[in-house]
Amino acid sequence: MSRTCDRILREGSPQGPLSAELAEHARGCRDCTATLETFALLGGPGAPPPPPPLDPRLDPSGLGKARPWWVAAALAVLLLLATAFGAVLALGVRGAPGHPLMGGLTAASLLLLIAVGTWSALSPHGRRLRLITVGLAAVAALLIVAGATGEGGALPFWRAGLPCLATEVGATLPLLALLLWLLTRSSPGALKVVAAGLAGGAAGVFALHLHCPVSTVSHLVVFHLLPWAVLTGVALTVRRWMRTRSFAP
Amino acid sequence: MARFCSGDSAAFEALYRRYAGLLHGHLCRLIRSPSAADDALQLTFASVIRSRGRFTPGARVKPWLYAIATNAARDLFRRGRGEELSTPEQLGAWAEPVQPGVQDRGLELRVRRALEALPPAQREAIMLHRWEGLSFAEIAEVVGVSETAAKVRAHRGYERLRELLADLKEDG
Repeated sequence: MSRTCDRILREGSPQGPLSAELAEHARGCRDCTATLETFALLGGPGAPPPPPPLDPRLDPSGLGKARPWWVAAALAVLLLLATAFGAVLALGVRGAPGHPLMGGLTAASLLLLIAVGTWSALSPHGRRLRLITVGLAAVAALLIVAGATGEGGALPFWRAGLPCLATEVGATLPLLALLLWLLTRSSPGALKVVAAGLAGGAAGVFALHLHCPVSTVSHLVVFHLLPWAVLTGVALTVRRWMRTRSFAP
Repeated sequence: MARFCSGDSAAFEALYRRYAGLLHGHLCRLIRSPSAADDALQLTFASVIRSRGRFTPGARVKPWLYAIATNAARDLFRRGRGEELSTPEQLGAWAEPVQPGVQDRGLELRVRRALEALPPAQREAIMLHRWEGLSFAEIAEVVGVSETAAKVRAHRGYERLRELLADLKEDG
């Protein structure tokens, strides 16, 4: 597709004549001739019925000044970070001592994920940030598995894992509920919900990362990472059932 | 929009007067049911009121409103309010003849069926480009993709339409 073909796609109109330059190109270009024929078949916009009068229930008087979206987003980020640190304070820090650099990087990536994920889920223009959130989650998961020291494996698998599972679900569910409620105030979008689910779940994973003394790969995958992924999937399903209160991007 | 965001309710009425007709036409073309289009229009402006804080100051109003209307229409479809196109009568009196001056409902139906056969993303891009007169930058804002992606969607849609309507052109 040449630059002129591109211009014809943008400017070619059955209502108005093409400029001499574009018309000359179109005559010699089979692709553009076909495009213009398709334009002609589609025609222009029709005359729709007149719009209905505004529903009297949509009375904007007395609404006051709009609160920008980022106020709620910033409060949500602060709440999620506070919950993550609150859970660490409540549970205590007794995680298996691995390499300090690896442990620090994992904790930092989870905190960054909480902030970026929450912000991007609630932002009207966060598509790129939402993709970054998914990447950050993958990095955090890899760091968690790579940082496994194999310690704590003496405890029975399920007995060691169920408290972690309960802690993660307990810490994540209220946050997810809040984020999903906030998400009903904008248009539905799977990537938004994934970002919110990963951010909400990261708060629980962060607390477990510092608290849990079991550091075997199987324990980390089954009781730390799998619930995180499952809760994100649950969030996607629940959001589909929830009523959307606003369709704004 | 700036006046409405700062609490001027008269600005909302001006917004409705200016854009309700355009958006209603868009919704009629997307949904094909005038009553569902009426509902989607009310949902659109209810969203404008509720989410005025999500509007970026200085941004273009038209793509933002089209984005809300398109999302509302998608939601109605998802919840089963979109009606199937089956007879020429269902197209309603508002539908423009596909070729100006030619009242050929059969031809019109075939063109609309060809549009129906396109993937939704391509159909939306074509409708916004062809019938709403939006630029590719504006379409990109409406559907939440890059300008290049919007252009590719429209281009592929036109190509597919061309294939689907090839026999019409040969007949003509």
